[in-house]
Amino acid sequence: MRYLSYAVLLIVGYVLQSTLFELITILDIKPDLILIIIVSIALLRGETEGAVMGFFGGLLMDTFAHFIGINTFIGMITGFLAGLLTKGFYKENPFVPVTAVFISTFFYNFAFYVLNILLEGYTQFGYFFNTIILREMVYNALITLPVYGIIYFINSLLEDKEHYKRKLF
Amino acid sequence: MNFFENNKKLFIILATIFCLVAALYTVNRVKPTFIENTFGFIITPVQKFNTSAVGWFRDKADYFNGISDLQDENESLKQELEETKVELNRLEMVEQENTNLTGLLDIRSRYSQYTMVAANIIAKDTGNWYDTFTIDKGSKDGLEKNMVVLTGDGLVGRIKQCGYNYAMVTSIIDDTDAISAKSLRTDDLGYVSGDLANKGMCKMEYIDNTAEITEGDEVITSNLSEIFPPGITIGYIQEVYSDSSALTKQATVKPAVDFKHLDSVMVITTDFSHDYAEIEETTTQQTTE
Repeated sequence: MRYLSYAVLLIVGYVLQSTLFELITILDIKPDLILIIIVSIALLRGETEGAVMGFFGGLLMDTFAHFIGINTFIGMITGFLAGLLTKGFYKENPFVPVTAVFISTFFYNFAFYVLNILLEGYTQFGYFFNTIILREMVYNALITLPVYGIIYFINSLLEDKEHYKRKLF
Repeated sequence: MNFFENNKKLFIILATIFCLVAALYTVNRVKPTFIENTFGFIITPVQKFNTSAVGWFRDKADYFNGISDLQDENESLKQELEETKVELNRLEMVEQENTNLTGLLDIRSRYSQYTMVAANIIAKDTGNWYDTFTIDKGSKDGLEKNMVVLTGDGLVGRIKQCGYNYAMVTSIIDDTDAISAKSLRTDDLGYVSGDLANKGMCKMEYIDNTAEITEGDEVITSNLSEIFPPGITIGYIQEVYSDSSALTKQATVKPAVDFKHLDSVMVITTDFSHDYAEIEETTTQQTTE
Protein backbone atom coordinates (compact mmCIF):
# COMPACT_ATOMS: atom_id res chain seq x y z
CA MET A 1 0.00 0.00 0.00
CA ARG A 2 2.76 2.38 1.00
CA TYR A 3 4.92 1.47 -1.98
CA LEU A 4 1.98 1.74 -4.33
CA SER A 5 1.22 5.27 -3.12
CA TYR A 6 4.91 6.20 -3.46
CA ALA A 7 4.92 4.98 -7.05
CA VAL A 8 1.72 6.90 -7.83
CA LEU A 9 3.19 10.04 -6.21
CA LEU A 10 6.35 9.84 -8.30
CA ILE A 11 4.54 9.15 -11.57
CA VAL A 12 2.03 11.96 -11.01
CA GLY A 13 4.95 14.22 -10.14
CA TYR A 14 6.80 13.21 -13.30
CA VAL A 15 3.83 13.75 -15.59
CA LEU A 16 3.03 17.15 -14.07
CA GLN A 17 6.63 18.26 -14.26
CA SER A 18 7.11 17.29 -17.89
CA THR A 19 3.84 18.78 -19.17
CA LEU A 20 2.02 21.29 -16.98
CA PHE A 21 5.03 22.89 -15.33
CA GLU A 22 6.24 24.13 -18.71
CA LEU A 23 3.40 26.69 -18.46
CA ILE A 24 4.33 28.05 -15.04
CA THR A 25 7.99 28.79 -15.62
CA ILE A 26 9.30 31.96 -14.01
CA LEU A 27 12.44 33.43 -15.59
CA ASP A 28 12.75 30.23 -17.68
CA ILE A 29 12.96 28.05 -14.60
CA LYS A 30 10.46 25.39 -13.61
CA PRO A 31 10.28 23.91 -10.12
CA ASP A 32 11.48 20.37 -9.48
CA LEU A 33 8.44 18.59 -8.11
CA ILE A 34 10.12 15.18 -7.94
CA LEU A 35 12.91 16.57 -5.77
CA ILE A 36 10.38 18.10 -3.39
CA ILE A 37 8.59 14.73 -3.13
CA ILE A 38 11.90 12.97 -2.45
CA VAL A 39 12.89 15.43 0.28
CA SER A 40 9.42 15.37 1.87
CA ILE A 41 9.44 11.58 2.12
CA ALA A 42 13.00 11.67 3.47
CA LEU A 43 11.91 14.16 6.15
CA LEU A 44 8.86 12.18 7.19
CA ARG A 45 10.24 8.65 6.97
CA GLY A 46 13.99 8.84 7.45
CA GLU A 47 17.07 8.38 5.32
CA THR A 48 16.48 4.84 4.05
CA GLU A 49 13.14 5.54 2.44
CA GLY A 50 14.51 8.89 1.29
CA ALA A 51 17.34 7.13 -0.54
CA VAL A 52 15.01 4.54 -2.10
CA MET A 53 12.62 7.31 -3.15
CA GLY A 54 15.53 9.36 -4.53
CA PHE A 55 16.77 6.37 -6.49
CA PHE A 56 13.47 5.72 -8.22
CA GLY A 57 12.60 9.40 -8.64
CA GLY A 58 15.97 10.00 -10.27
CA LEU A 59 15.54 6.94 -12.47
CA LEU A 60 12.24 8.37 -13.65
CA MET A 61 13.88 11.71 -14.52
CA ASP A 62 16.62 9.82 -16.36
CA THR A 63 14.28 7.94 -18.69
CA PHE A 64 14.16 10.64 -21.35
CA ALA A 65 17.55 12.18 -20.56
CA HIS A 66 20.85 11.82 -22.34
CA PHE A 67 21.96 8.79 -20.36
CA ILE A 68 20.73 6.84 -17.37
CA GLY A 69 22.38 7.08 -13.99
CA ILE A 70 23.19 10.67 -13.18
CA ASN A 71 19.86 11.79 -11.70
CA THR A 72 19.46 8.35 -10.14
CA PHE A 73 22.74 8.69 -8.27
CA ILE A 74 22.31 12.30 -7.17
CA GLY A 75 18.66 11.72 -6.24
CA MET A 76 19.61 8.80 -4.02
CA ILE A 77 22.37 10.74 -2.24
CA THR A 78 20.12 13.79 -1.80
CA GLY A 79 17.29 11.70 -0.34
CA PHE A 80 19.68 9.91 1.98
CA LEU A 81 21.33 13.09 3.28
CA ALA A 82 18.01 14.92 3.61
CA GLY A 83 16.74 12.12 5.84
CA LEU A 84 19.95 11.75 7.82
CA LEU A 85 20.55 15.42 8.57
CA THR A 86 16.98 16.21 9.67
CA LYS A 87 16.73 13.44 12.26
CA GLY A 88 15.01 14.74 15.39
CA PHE A 89 13.64 17.88 13.78
CA TYR A 90 9.97 18.69 14.34
CA LYS A 91 8.38 17.66 11.06
CA GLU A 92 5.26 19.74 11.85
CA ASN A 93 7.19 23.01 11.75
CA PRO A 94 6.74 24.50 8.25
CA PHE A 95 10.19 26.05 8.43
CA VAL A 96 11.87 22.62 8.36
CA PRO A 97 10.65 21.34 4.94
CA VAL A 98 11.13 24.73 3.30
CA THR A 99 14.73 25.01 4.46
CA ALA A 100 15.42 21.36 3.67
CA VAL A 101 14.12 21.75 0.11
CA PHE A 102 16.04 25.00 -0.31
CA ILE A 103 19.34 23.39 0.70
CA SER A 104 18.63 20.10 -1.10
CA THR A 105 17.95 21.93 -4.35
CA PHE A 106 21.32 23.61 -4.06
CA PHE A 107 23.02 20.32 -3.29
CA TYR A 108 21.23 18.49 -6.11
CA ASN A 109 22.00 21.08 -8.76
CA PHE A 110 25.55 21.61 -7.54
CA ALA A 111 26.22 17.89 -7.79
CA PHE A 112 24.60 17.84 -11.23
CA TYR A 113 26.80 20.74 -12.29
CA VAL A 114 30.00 19.13 -11.03
CA LEU A 115 29.28 15.66 -12.41
CA ASN A 116 27.86 16.75 -15.73
CA ILE A 117 28.21 20.36 -16.83
CA LEU A 118 31.68 21.03 -15.43
CA LEU A 119 33.03 17.94 -17.15
CA GLU A 120 31.78 19.30 -20.47
CA GLY A 121 34.10 22.26 -19.97
CA TYR A 122 31.81 24.95 -18.59
CA THR A 123 33.69 26.53 -15.72
CA GLN A 124 31.44 29.58 -15.21
CA PHE A 125 29.78 28.38 -12.00
CA GLY A 126 28.70 31.93 -11.09
CA TYR A 127 26.66 32.22 -14.27
CA PHE A 128 24.88 28.91 -13.72
CA PHE A 129 24.32 29.70 -10.05
CA ASN A 130 22.63 32.99 -10.90
CA THR A 131 20.58 31.84 -13.87
CA ILE A 132 19.56 28.33 -12.86
CA ILE A 133 20.42 27.15 -9.37
CA LEU A 134 19.43 30.16 -7.24
CA ARG A 135 16.15 30.68 -9.11
CA GLU A 136 15.24 27.03 -8.80
CA MET A 137 16.10 27.07 -5.08
CA VAL A 138 13.72 29.97 -4.45
CA TYR A 139 10.98 28.59 -6.69
CA ASN A 140 11.18 25.13 -5.14
CA ALA A 141 11.09 26.58 -1.63
CA LEU A 142 7.98 28.59 -2.56
CA ILE A 143 5.95 25.60 -3.72
CA THR A 144 7.21 23.26 -1.00
CA LEU A 145 4.49 23.88 1.57
CA PRO A 146 1.44 22.77 -0.45
CA VAL A 147 3.29 19.69 -1.75
CA TYR A 148 4.63 18.85 1.71
CA GLY A 149 1.13 19.32 3.12
CA ILE A 150 -0.32 16.76 0.69
CA ILE A 151 2.46 14.26 1.37
CA TYR A 152 2.16 14.80 5.13
CA PHE A 153 -1.56 14.07 4.86
CA ILE A 154 -1.03 10.93 2.78
CA ASN A 155 1.68 9.77 5.15
CA SER A 156 -0.48 10.24 8.24
CA LEU A 157 -3.29 8.28 6.57
CA LEU A 158 -0.88 5.47 5.77
CA GLU A 159 0.58 5.47 9.28
CA ASP A 160 -2.87 5.33 10.82
CA LYS A 161 -3.64 2.38 8.64
CA GLU A 162 -0.44 0.58 9.53
CA HIS A 163 -0.80 1.40 13.26
CA TYR A 164 2.72 2.57 13.04
CA LYS A 165 4.16 4.67 15.83
CA ARG A 166 6.90 6.99 14.72
CA LYS A 167 9.99 6.96 16.86
CA LEU A 168 10.10 10.47 18.28
CA PHE A 169 13.69 10.66 19.36
CA MET B 1 11.90 -1.32 5.06
CA ASN B 2 13.64 -3.54 7.65
CA PHE B 3 15.39 -5.40 4.92
CA PHE B 4 16.77 -2.14 3.52
CA GLU B 5 17.54 -0.85 7.00
CA ASN B 6 19.75 -3.83 7.87
CA ASN B 7 21.77 -3.82 4.65
CA LYS B 8 21.97 -0.07 4.18
CA LYS B 9 25.63 0.14 3.15
CA LEU B 10 25.39 -2.80 0.81
CA PHE B 11 22.40 -1.27 -0.95
CA ILE B 12 24.05 2.12 -1.36
CA ILE B 13 27.16 0.52 -2.86
CA LEU B 14 25.06 -1.68 -5.15
CA ALA B 15 22.95 1.30 -6.27
CA THR B 16 26.06 3.37 -6.97
CA ILE B 17 27.51 0.58 -9.08
CA PHE B 18 24.18 0.29 -10.87
CA CYS B 19 24.27 4.01 -11.71
CA LEU B 20 27.80 3.80 -13.06
CA VAL B 21 27.11 0.72 -15.16
CA ALA B 22 23.83 2.18 -16.43
CA ALA B 23 25.56 5.43 -17.41
CA LEU B 24 28.33 3.61 -19.25
CA TYR B 25 25.91 1.20 -20.87
CA THR B 26 23.40 3.79 -22.07
CA VAL B 27 25.61 6.74 -23.02
CA ASN B 28 25.88 5.61 -26.64
CA ARG B 29 22.76 3.47 -26.93
CA VAL B 30 21.26 3.12 -30.37
CA LYS B 31 17.82 1.92 -29.35
CA PRO B 32 15.96 2.83 -26.16
CA THR B 33 16.33 0.17 -23.51
CA PHE B 34 13.43 -2.18 -22.92
CA ILE B 35 12.45 -0.43 -19.67
CA GLU B 36 12.51 3.00 -21.28
CA ASN B 37 10.45 1.81 -24.20
CA THR B 38 7.85 0.21 -21.96
CA PHE B 39 7.73 3.23 -19.68
CA GLY B 40 7.49 5.56 -22.67
CA PHE B 41 4.73 3.47 -24.15
CA ILE B 42 2.67 3.78 -20.99
CA ILE B 43 3.43 7.36 -19.99
CA THR B 44 3.15 8.99 -23.44
CA PRO B 45 -0.67 8.78 -23.76
CA VAL B 46 -0.99 10.27 -20.27
CA GLN B 47 1.31 13.16 -21.14
CA LYS B 48 -0.49 13.64 -24.44
CA PHE B 49 -3.85 13.78 -22.72
CA ASN B 50 -2.56 16.19 -20.11
CA THR B 51 -1.07 18.58 -22.67
CA SER B 52 -4.18 18.59 -24.85
CA ALA B 53 -6.48 19.06 -21.83
CA VAL B 54 -4.51 22.13 -20.77
CA GLY B 55 -4.72 23.42 -24.35
CA TRP B 56 -8.50 22.93 -24.41
CA PHE B 57 -9.00 24.99 -21.25
CA ARG B 58 -6.76 27.72 -22.57
CA ASP B 59 -8.73 27.87 -25.84
CA LYS B 60 -12.04 28.16 -23.96
CA ALA B 61 -10.72 30.94 -21.75
CA ASP B 62 -9.47 32.83 -24.81
CA TYR B 63 -12.86 32.41 -26.50
CA PHE B 64 -14.77 34.16 -23.72
CA ASN B 65 -12.19 36.85 -23.19
CA GLY B 66 -12.11 37.78 -26.87
CA ILE B 67 -15.75 38.71 -27.73
CA SER B 68 -15.56 42.37 -26.74
CA ASP B 69 -12.49 42.95 -28.85
CA LEU B 70 -13.90 41.28 -31.96
CA GLN B 71 -15.79 44.31 -33.31
CA ASP B 72 -12.76 46.58 -33.26
CA GLU B 73 -10.72 43.84 -34.72
CA ASN B 74 -13.20 43.37 -37.56
CA GLU B 75 -12.90 47.04 -38.57
CA SER B 76 -9.15 47.00 -38.57
CA LEU B 77 -9.05 43.67 -40.39
CA LYS B 78 -11.19 45.03 -43.25
CA GLN B 79 -8.76 47.84 -43.69
CA GLU B 80 -5.89 45.46 -43.50
CA LEU B 81 -7.46 43.27 -46.16
CA GLU B 82 -7.40 46.12 -48.65
CA GLU B 83 -3.78 46.78 -47.94
CA THR B 84 -3.00 43.10 -48.17
CA LYS B 85 -4.54 42.79 -51.62
CA VAL B 86 -2.14 45.40 -52.92
CA GLU B 87 0.69 43.68 -51.11
CA LEU B 88 -0.32 40.31 -52.53
CA ASN B 89 0.00 41.53 -56.10
CA ARG B 90 3.46 42.77 -55.36
CA LEU B 91 4.38 39.47 -53.70
CA GLU B 92 3.17 37.43 -56.64
CA MET B 93 5.66 39.26 -58.76
CA VAL B 94 8.36 38.58 -56.20
CA GLU B 95 7.43 34.92 -56.03
CA GLN B 96 7.74 34.59 -59.76
CA GLU B 97 11.20 35.99 -59.51
CA ASN B 98 11.94 33.77 -56.54
CA THR B 99 11.02 30.52 -58.30
CA ASN B 100 13.34 31.49 -61.11
CA LEU B 101 16.17 32.10 -58.70
CA THR B 102 15.68 28.97 -56.56
CA GLY B 103 15.93 26.95 -59.75
CA LEU B 104 19.48 28.21 -59.83
CA LEU B 105 20.14 27.39 -56.20
CA ASP B 106 19.88 23.64 -56.55
CA ILE B 107 20.32 22.84 -52.86
CA ARG B 108 17.56 25.13 -51.72
CA SER B 109 15.00 23.59 -54.05
CA ARG B 110 15.72 20.11 -52.71
CA TYR B 111 14.52 21.22 -49.32
CA SER B 112 10.87 21.12 -50.40
CA GLN B 113 11.16 17.62 -51.80
CA TYR B 114 11.61 15.87 -48.48
CA THR B 115 8.67 13.95 -47.12
CA MET B 116 7.78 15.11 -43.67
CA VAL B 117 5.71 13.94 -40.73
CA ALA B 118 4.08 16.47 -38.43
CA ALA B 119 4.32 15.88 -34.70
CA ASN B 120 3.29 17.60 -31.50
CA ILE B 121 5.52 18.21 -28.53
CA ILE B 122 3.98 16.47 -25.55
CA ALA B 123 6.60 16.73 -22.84
CA LYS B 124 9.79 18.55 -22.00
CA ASP B 125 12.86 17.55 -20.05
CA THR B 126 12.17 17.55 -16.31
CA GLY B 127 15.32 19.45 -15.39
CA ASN B 128 16.36 23.00 -16.06
CA TRP B 129 19.77 22.24 -17.53
CA TYR B 130 19.15 20.64 -20.89
CA ASP B 131 16.65 21.21 -23.68
CA THR B 132 15.23 17.93 -24.82
CA PHE B 133 11.61 17.17 -25.51
CA THR B 134 9.35 14.28 -26.45
CA ILE B 135 7.11 14.20 -29.53
CA ASP B 136 4.03 12.05 -30.06
CA LYS B 137 5.23 10.13 -33.12
CA GLY B 138 7.55 7.15 -33.00
CA SER B 139 8.76 4.16 -34.95
CA LYS B 140 5.16 3.20 -35.76
CA ASP B 141 4.96 6.40 -37.87
CA GLY B 142 8.20 5.59 -39.63
CA LEU B 143 10.55 7.68 -37.52
CA GLU B 144 14.09 6.55 -36.75
CA LYS B 145 17.03 7.68 -34.73
CA ASN B 146 18.92 10.68 -36.17
CA MET B 147 16.04 11.94 -38.28
CA VAL B 148 15.99 15.72 -38.55
CA VAL B 149 13.35 17.82 -36.78
CA LEU B 150 12.46 21.29 -38.02
CA THR B 151 9.73 23.89 -38.23
CA GLY B 152 8.85 26.38 -40.94
CA ASP B 153 11.35 28.79 -39.42
CA GLY B 154 14.34 26.53 -39.31
CA LEU B 155 16.19 23.66 -37.71
CA VAL B 156 15.06 22.34 -34.33
CA GLY B 157 17.29 19.32 -33.75
CA ARG B 158 17.43 15.60 -34.33
CA ILE B 159 15.86 12.49 -32.88
CA LYS B 160 18.08 11.07 -30.21
CA GLN B 161 15.96 8.13 -29.18
CA CYS B 162 12.99 6.61 -30.94
CA GLY B 163 10.43 4.49 -29.12
CA TYR B 164 7.29 2.86 -30.46
CA ASN B 165 4.93 5.81 -30.00
CA TYR B 166 7.28 8.54 -28.87
CA ALA B 167 10.60 10.03 -29.89
CA MET B 168 13.03 12.08 -27.85
CA VAL B 169 14.45 15.10 -29.63
CA THR B 170 17.59 16.99 -28.67
CA SER B 171 17.40 20.59 -29.78
CA ILE B 172 20.24 22.59 -31.29
CA ILE B 173 20.44 24.78 -28.17
CA ASP B 174 21.39 21.67 -26.22
CA ASP B 175 25.16 21.37 -26.23
CA THR B 176 25.37 17.63 -26.89
CA ASP B 177 25.22 18.03 -30.65
CA ALA B 178 27.49 19.77 -33.13
CA ILE B 179 26.19 20.58 -36.60
CA SER B 180 28.31 21.36 -39.62
CA ALA B 181 27.09 24.75 -40.82
CA LYS B 182 27.94 27.53 -43.22
CA SER B 183 26.94 31.11 -43.68
CA LEU B 184 24.60 31.56 -46.61
CA ARG B 185 26.14 34.80 -47.86
CA THR B 186 29.83 33.99 -47.71
CA ASP B 187 29.86 30.15 -47.66
CA ASP B 188 32.17 30.07 -44.63
CA LEU B 189 32.09 26.78 -42.79
CA GLY B 190 31.90 26.21 -39.05
CA TYR B 191 30.36 24.04 -36.36
CA VAL B 192 27.21 25.10 -34.56
CA SER B 193 26.46 23.72 -31.12
CA GLY B 194 24.33 24.86 -28.22
CA ASP B 195 25.85 27.06 -25.55
CA LEU B 196 24.82 26.28 -21.99
CA ALA B 197 26.65 29.33 -20.68
CA ASN B 198 24.47 31.55 -22.87
CA LYS B 199 21.06 29.99 -22.60
CA GLY B 200 18.91 29.87 -25.71
CA MET B 201 21.79 30.73 -28.03
CA CYS B 202 24.14 28.65 -30.15
CA LYS B 203 27.79 29.18 -30.78
CA MET B 204 29.49 28.71 -34.12
CA GLU B 205 33.09 27.65 -33.78
CA TYR B 206 36.10 27.01 -36.03
CA ILE B 207 35.24 29.69 -38.54
CA ASP B 208 38.20 30.59 -40.72
CA ASN B 209 40.06 33.63 -39.44
CA THR B 210 39.83 35.40 -42.79
CA ALA B 211 36.10 34.78 -43.13
CA GLU B 212 34.07 37.90 -43.82
CA ILE B 213 31.21 36.78 -41.66
CA THR B 214 29.20 39.57 -40.03
CA GLU B 215 26.24 40.27 -37.81
CA GLY B 216 22.89 39.29 -39.32
CA ASP B 217 24.25 36.67 -41.71
CA GLU B 218 22.02 33.64 -42.13
CA VAL B 219 23.57 30.36 -41.01
CA ILE B 220 22.39 27.18 -42.77
CA THR B 221 23.32 23.51 -42.53
CA SER B 222 26.20 22.66 -44.83
CA ASN B 223 26.34 19.79 -47.27
CA LEU B 224 29.07 18.04 -45.29
CA SER B 225 26.78 16.38 -42.77
CA GLU B 226 25.43 12.86 -43.07
CA ILE B 227 22.60 13.56 -40.69
CA PHE B 228 21.41 17.05 -41.53
CA PRO B 229 20.29 17.79 -45.08
CA PRO B 230 21.93 20.90 -46.57
CA GLY B 231 20.21 24.27 -46.73
CA ILE B 232 18.11 24.33 -43.57
CA THR B 233 18.18 27.65 -41.74
CA ILE B 234 19.78 27.37 -38.32
CA GLY B 235 19.75 30.99 -37.25
CA TYR B 236 21.29 34.40 -37.63
CA ILE B 237 24.68 35.58 -36.46
CA GLN B 238 24.49 37.99 -33.57
CA GLU B 239 28.09 38.61 -32.67
CA VAL B 240 31.45 37.63 -34.11
CA TYR B 241 34.62 37.51 -32.04
CA SER B 242 38.08 36.04 -32.22
CA ASP B 243 38.73 32.80 -30.43
CA SER B 244 41.20 32.86 -27.51
CA SER B 245 43.88 31.31 -29.68
CA ALA B 246 43.20 33.99 -32.35
CA LEU B 247 43.49 31.33 -35.04
CA THR B 248 39.80 30.92 -35.68
CA LYS B 249 36.71 33.02 -35.20
CA GLN B 250 33.69 32.27 -33.08
CA ALA B 251 30.19 33.63 -33.42
CA THR B 252 27.04 33.71 -31.35
CA VAL B 253 24.09 32.45 -33.37
CA LYS B 254 20.50 33.28 -32.51
CA PRO B 255 18.35 30.29 -33.53
CA ALA B 256 15.66 31.03 -36.11
CA VAL B 257 13.18 28.88 -34.19
CA ASP B 258 11.50 30.31 -31.10
CA PHE B 259 12.22 27.48 -28.67
CA LYS B 260 10.14 29.00 -25.90
CA HIS B 261 6.88 28.82 -27.83
CA LEU B 262 7.38 25.61 -29.74
CA ASP B 263 4.54 23.11 -29.78
CA SER B 264 4.48 21.41 -33.16
CA VAL B 265 7.36 20.32 -35.36
CA MET B 266 8.04 18.48 -38.62
CA VAL B 267 10.29 15.44 -39.00
CA ILE B 268 12.03 14.68 -42.30
CA THR B 269 11.55 11.00 -43.05
CA THR B 270 13.31 10.88 -46.41
CA ASP B 271 16.41 8.76 -46.37
CA PHE B 272 18.89 11.49 -46.93
CA SER B 273 22.17 9.58 -47.19
CA HIS B 274 21.37 8.77 -50.81
CA ASP B 275 20.99 12.47 -51.60
CA TYR B 276 24.22 13.15 -49.87
CA ALA B 277 26.13 10.79 -52.14
CA GLU B 278 24.52 12.43 -55.16
CA ILE B 279 25.57 15.90 -54.07
CA GLU B 280 29.08 14.70 -53.44
CA GLU B 281 29.18 13.28 -56.94
CA THR B 282 28.02 16.51 -58.55
CA THR B 283 30.42 18.64 -56.53
CA THR B 284 33.38 16.44 -57.41
CA GLN B 285 32.34 16.60 -61.05
CA GLN B 286 32.20 20.36 -60.86
CA THR B 287 35.63 20.61 -59.28
CA THR B 288 37.22 18.27 -61.82
CA GLU B 289 35.69 20.23 -64.65
